[in-house]
Amino acid sequence: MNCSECEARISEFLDGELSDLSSQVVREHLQSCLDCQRLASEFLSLKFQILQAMDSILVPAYLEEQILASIQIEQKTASKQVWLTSLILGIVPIMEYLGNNWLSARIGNFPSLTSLFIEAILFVALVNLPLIGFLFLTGSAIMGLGVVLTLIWMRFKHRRKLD
Amino acid sequence: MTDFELIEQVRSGNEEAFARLLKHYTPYVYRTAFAFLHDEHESEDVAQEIFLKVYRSIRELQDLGAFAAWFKRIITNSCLDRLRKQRPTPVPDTQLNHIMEKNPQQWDQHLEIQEAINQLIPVYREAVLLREWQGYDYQEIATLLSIPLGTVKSRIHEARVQLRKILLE
Repeated sequence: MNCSECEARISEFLDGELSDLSSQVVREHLQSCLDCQRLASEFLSLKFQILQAMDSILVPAYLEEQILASIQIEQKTASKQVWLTSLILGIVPIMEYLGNNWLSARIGNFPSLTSLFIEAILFVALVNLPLIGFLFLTGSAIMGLGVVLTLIWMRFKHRRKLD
Repeated sequence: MTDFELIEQVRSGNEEAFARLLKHYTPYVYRTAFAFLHDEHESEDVAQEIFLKVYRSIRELQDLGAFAAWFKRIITNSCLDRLRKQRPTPVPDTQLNHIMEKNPQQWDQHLEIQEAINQLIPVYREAVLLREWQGYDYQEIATLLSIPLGTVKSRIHEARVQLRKILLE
C-alpha cells in the first residue's frame, strides 16, 4: 500500500469501517510511514476538538422555559380540540335518536328522506347555527338602518312642506 | 430515577417528568442544532420544534429502550430538514479576519473549530457532524441521508481534509 491509497482509506480505518484484512494493511503502512501517521493523528485530534467545541456552545438560559411555554400552549389547544370533538361526538347519538324515533315517524310518508339524511341536515344546521345567527343579526341591522334612514327622510320632507 | 422510569412518566403525561427530560436534553438538542445551523434563533426554533414533536408522539413509542435512538433520529431529521431550507450563508475570509482582529481573546480554539465547520459546504458539514458529534456509523448516515455508502465515505473523508486545511490556514 502506498501513501495515497492509505490516505484514501484513513477515515474508514479510524472509524472502524474497514474489514479486518483491510485494517491490517492500513495498520502495517502506518507503522512504517510517518506522514500517514501524522495525518491519522490529526484526524483523531480533530474528532476530539469537534466534540470539545460542540460542548462549549453556550445554551441560552431562557430556552427551557420558552419550550415549556410552547408545550403548555400546545396542551391548551389539544384540550380545546378534545372538548370540541366530545361535543360533536355527543351530538351524534342525539341526532340519531331524533332521526330514528321522532322525525322518521313524522316523515314516514316520504321514503326518500331516510333517517340518515335527516341526521345530516340537522348536523349541518347545527354546525351552521353561528353563521345563521350572524347573517340574521347582520340582516336585522341593515333593515333597521333602512327604517331609520326612511324615517329621517320622511321627517325632512315633511318639514320642507311646512316651510 | 432511571431514564426508563422518566420516559415512562413522560409517556403517562407527567408534566414534572417532561420538565426534567427537557432540562436533561436541552443542551444536547440546542448544541446539535447550532452545530448544523450555526444560527442562534434558528437553533432555538428547531430545539422547540424537536421537543414539541417528542411531546406529541412519545405515546406512540412502543419500546422504551429505543427512546435514545428514536429521540436522536428526531433531532437529526429536524436539523437536516432545517439545514436544507436554510439559505447558504458562507462567512467570507475577509469577515473572518475582521472578527479575529476585533475579538482576539474570544477567538479561542473552540470558536475556531465551530467557524471551520460552518465554512464547510452543507453536505460535508452534515456528514462530519453526523459521524463525529452524533456518532452514527456510515450505513446509518447513508440511510438517514438516502445516499450511497460510497458517497458517505467520500464526504466524511473530504470534510476532514477540508477542516484540516481550514484550520491550518
